[in-house]
Amino acid sequence: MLRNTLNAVYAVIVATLLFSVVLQILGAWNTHRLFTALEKSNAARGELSLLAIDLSDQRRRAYLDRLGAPHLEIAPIRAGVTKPMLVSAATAVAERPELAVRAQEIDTRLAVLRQDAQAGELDADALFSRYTEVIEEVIALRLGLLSWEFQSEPVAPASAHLRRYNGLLLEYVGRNAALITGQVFAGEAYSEAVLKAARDNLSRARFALEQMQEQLLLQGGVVTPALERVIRSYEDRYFVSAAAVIEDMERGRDPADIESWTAFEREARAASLDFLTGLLATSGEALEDLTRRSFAWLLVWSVLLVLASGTAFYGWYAVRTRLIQPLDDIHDDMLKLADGRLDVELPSVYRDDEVGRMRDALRIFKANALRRARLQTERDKLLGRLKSAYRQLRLDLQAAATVQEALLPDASNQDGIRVQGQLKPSHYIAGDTYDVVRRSDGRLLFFQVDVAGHGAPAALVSVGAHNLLLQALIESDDRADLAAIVAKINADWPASMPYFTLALGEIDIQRGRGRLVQAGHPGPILMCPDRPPETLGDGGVPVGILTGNHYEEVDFDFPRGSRLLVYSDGLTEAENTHKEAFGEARLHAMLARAATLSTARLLDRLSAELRGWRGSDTLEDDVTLLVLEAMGRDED
Amino acid sequence: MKIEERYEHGICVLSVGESRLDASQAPALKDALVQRVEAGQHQLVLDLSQTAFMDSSGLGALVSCLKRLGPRGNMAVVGVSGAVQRLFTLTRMDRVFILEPDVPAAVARLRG
Repeated sequence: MLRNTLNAVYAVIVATLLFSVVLQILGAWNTHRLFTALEKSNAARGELSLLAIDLSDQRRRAYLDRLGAPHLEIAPIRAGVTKPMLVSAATAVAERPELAVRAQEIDTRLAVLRQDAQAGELDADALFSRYTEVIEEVIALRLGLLSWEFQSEPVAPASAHLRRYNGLLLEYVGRNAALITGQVFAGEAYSEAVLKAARDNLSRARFALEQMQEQLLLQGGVVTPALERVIRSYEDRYFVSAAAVIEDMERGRDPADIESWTAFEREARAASLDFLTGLLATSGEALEDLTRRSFAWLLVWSVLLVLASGTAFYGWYAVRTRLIQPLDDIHDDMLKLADGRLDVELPSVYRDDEVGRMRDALRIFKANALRRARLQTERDKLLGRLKSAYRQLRLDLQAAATVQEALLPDASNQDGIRVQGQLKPSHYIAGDTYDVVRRSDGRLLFFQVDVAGHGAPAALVSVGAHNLLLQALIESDDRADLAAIVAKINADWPASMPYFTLALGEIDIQRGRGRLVQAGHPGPILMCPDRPPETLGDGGVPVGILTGNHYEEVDFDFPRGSRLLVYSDGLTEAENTHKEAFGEARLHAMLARAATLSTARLLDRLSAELRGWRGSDTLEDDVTLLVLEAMGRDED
Repeated sequence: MKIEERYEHGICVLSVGESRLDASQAPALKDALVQRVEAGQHQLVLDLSQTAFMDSSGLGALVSCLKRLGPRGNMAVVGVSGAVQRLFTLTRMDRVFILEPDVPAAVARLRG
């Protein structure tokens, strides 16, 4: 169905669209979350770098205090902000819970160390190594964060490496600052172990700087002024003076230029700090920018989701209210109209679209249906009137047929002559008629008339002709000239009336003779015992067709046992379904076969044959049969 | 009703294209014939060779035409056979109308 297809297609499109947008949002949300984590992690790493430097300073102060050596007061960089920073780092790397645990441990160890330092229970070396352990922990934690950040890029590796080696550089320089200053001001013989450590630290510091330079070459980083200053201050000044101081001390003499070393150390440290701060700011800003952008994308996709959902909902709503619902309504209305419920109310709101055109078509359909219904009602009324008129007409015709039938003689058997006839009108009333007149001397006059045409006009004319003939026969004398009677009727017949064919005859049973005048009527058939049927007469002009006709009389033998069949042409011209006429020959053959049947049976047989030939009870023309039979002596 | 008109030697020849001439066709045939007579045709040839059946109505139409023609006119019927021939014989109309087997014979007869 159309609506299911529409709904399905729409659902698939909307689902695909929403799925894509939601995927994009999830992607943007993950990216944003990652960038936020990276930003926090980066910030935490920055804090840890600064913490390492700060701890390095604390270690130096605590170490020199313990040795009783004077030292330069250095302002703390990150004093007192350790814990929030560590917590922040722990939150950032939720995927690495052990880092958070380690941050917590560092915090705890630092607190214990500070307590121990204040209690004064630790000697200088122990203090130094305890601090160094914590600092190494901090550096390890920072590396842990870095390795997590590396897994998810997009932090510039060069920058990360530079920060790392810069941190190491500061740590080793910081260690030496404490160790060398401690040795110089201890006032005792220089410790071999400490000097070796100082020499190692210096080597490691050199290595760290070399690594920074190497990273620059490998990663193609840009040498900023801050980095340039770091390299210069270490390579050109600090390493040289530090190496000189350590060498002097190794040779057992006081360092020649301890002040320069101290100054260079401060300068290099400041350069490193500057560089670190710059890097932290740059990477922080870059990550902040990425986070902001990812958030912007998240917003863009979310707005798109809202728009897509809104559009999808509106589209679904529009398809439903503007297309599917109206189509359903039209469908229902059509069913109602088809069901003949013409009182159905169609929506009258105008719409200039396909649905509107369909509604217009439906309105026209309804108007047509209404007009048809009106016409049908009128037609029904008319049909009712017609039926009533036809019923009346048929009643009239039936009454007329009854009257016409009453005019015909009943079957009779008198004076040795049996008379039996039948008339089958093609439509209620016939243009055919017949009658007999019995004379007192036993002779019998008979006639049969067939008026041209059928129906009421022919029937009326046949009644007129019937009366005229009856009158003429009654008025005629015993030996009247039948031909003269016909000629007179023909002469008197009005030219405006239809003509008719006539067979007029007389049977004289005493003498066994008969005579006949034929005026266009089919020749009657004479059936004598032991002889084949024979047609009498050779025609004659119908009555009323032309004036001044001469008619002939035909005489014939009519012994006892003979029968005469007078018939109208409706019998021989009756056609079967192949338009073939019943014909005279078939009639003769049938009569020959039926020679032994009684007159009543003969008439029945003739009717049955005719019905069989026609294939139905209907007739095209009136069929009249009249049989006159000369009875045997014993039958009288 | 199917009827064809043509002239041979100035004589109007009407060919009836109906196989049956009964009450349903008779009025049209009568009109066609009377129309020719009233148009001044006093000699008519009616070709019934395609007609297999004619009843009293058809015969009435022919007789009406003959009456209309009067003593001055003549009407020849051509090509009657079978049932139509029998009707003409039975009603003696074969003695009233000029019957000829074909149109040329009828035309020759009418031209005298």
